[in-house]
Amino acid sequence: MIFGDGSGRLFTRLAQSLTVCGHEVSHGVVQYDGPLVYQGQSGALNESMADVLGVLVEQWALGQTVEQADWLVGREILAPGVTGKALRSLAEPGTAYDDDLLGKDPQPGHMKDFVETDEDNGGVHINSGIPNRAFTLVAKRLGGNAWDDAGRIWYASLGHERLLPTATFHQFARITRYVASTLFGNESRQVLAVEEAWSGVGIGL
Amino acid sequence: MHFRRTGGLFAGNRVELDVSQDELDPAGAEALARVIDNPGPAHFTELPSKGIGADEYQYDLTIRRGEEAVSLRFDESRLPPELVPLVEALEQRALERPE
Repeated sequence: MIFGDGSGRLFTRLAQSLTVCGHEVSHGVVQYDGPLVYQGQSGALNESMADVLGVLVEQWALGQTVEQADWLVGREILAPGVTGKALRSLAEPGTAYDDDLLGKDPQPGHMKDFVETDEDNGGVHINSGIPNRAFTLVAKRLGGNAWDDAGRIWYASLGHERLLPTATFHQFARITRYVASTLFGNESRQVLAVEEAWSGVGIGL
Repeated sequence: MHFRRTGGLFAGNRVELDVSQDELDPAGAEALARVIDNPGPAHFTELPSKGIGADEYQYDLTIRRGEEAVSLRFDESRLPPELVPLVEALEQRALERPE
């Protein structure tokens, strides 16, 4: 695993960000505990899972509740003078940066804005904004520590036997609901939170 | 030729460049000449291109000579050694934007 030091023009030392390190280490977890192929929607789910686990590492390390968390990845690494707050915002995709050199954060937070593209392995770092936001909506609705119920549902879904290597967002969403019902019961507030979160990003269950 | 780098840690790392051989610096022009002369761009279309890791750069190159065009795509970990000098020259030039 290699972390660059940045040129100082756009980025500074990447390893100083716990969320960036958490994201990269989590790619190992995602690769070995789940089947998600790094292309298209399954690739965006792969990226999103690494983002989710990355921010959960930081929230756990800082003892942050859902309400205290800022849901940013790479807050520490933008160079002075760059107009932005981080590399990505899980809670508000598309708002992390808007800079003359860096461009504007292209992440959508809803299926109506899904980006069809052949670059970046089919937009794995772009459309990951949609499942990222879905996770934050679940966590915010449940409150408390995001790594407890929301994180447990997401991680168990990654390793679920029904998750296909080429899973779409909708297929993954159905698995999260199934996992939530298995863990917490059909009529649980966790299931309701999962259903409302996916609906909030344009994925009806 | 056309060069594009996407992927990496985040979506904003995209760089793109259209350039002719005589616009490249001597090292870049030499790197391109070596690719064209031996083994030729078409040689690379048969090689494995998909990496196994996440957050790799994805490189797209289209080399045009007259009516002939060859398009190549490689993830960072699969970039053939013979293409590395050319990709480095193109990447460097693409990043040389005015401050």
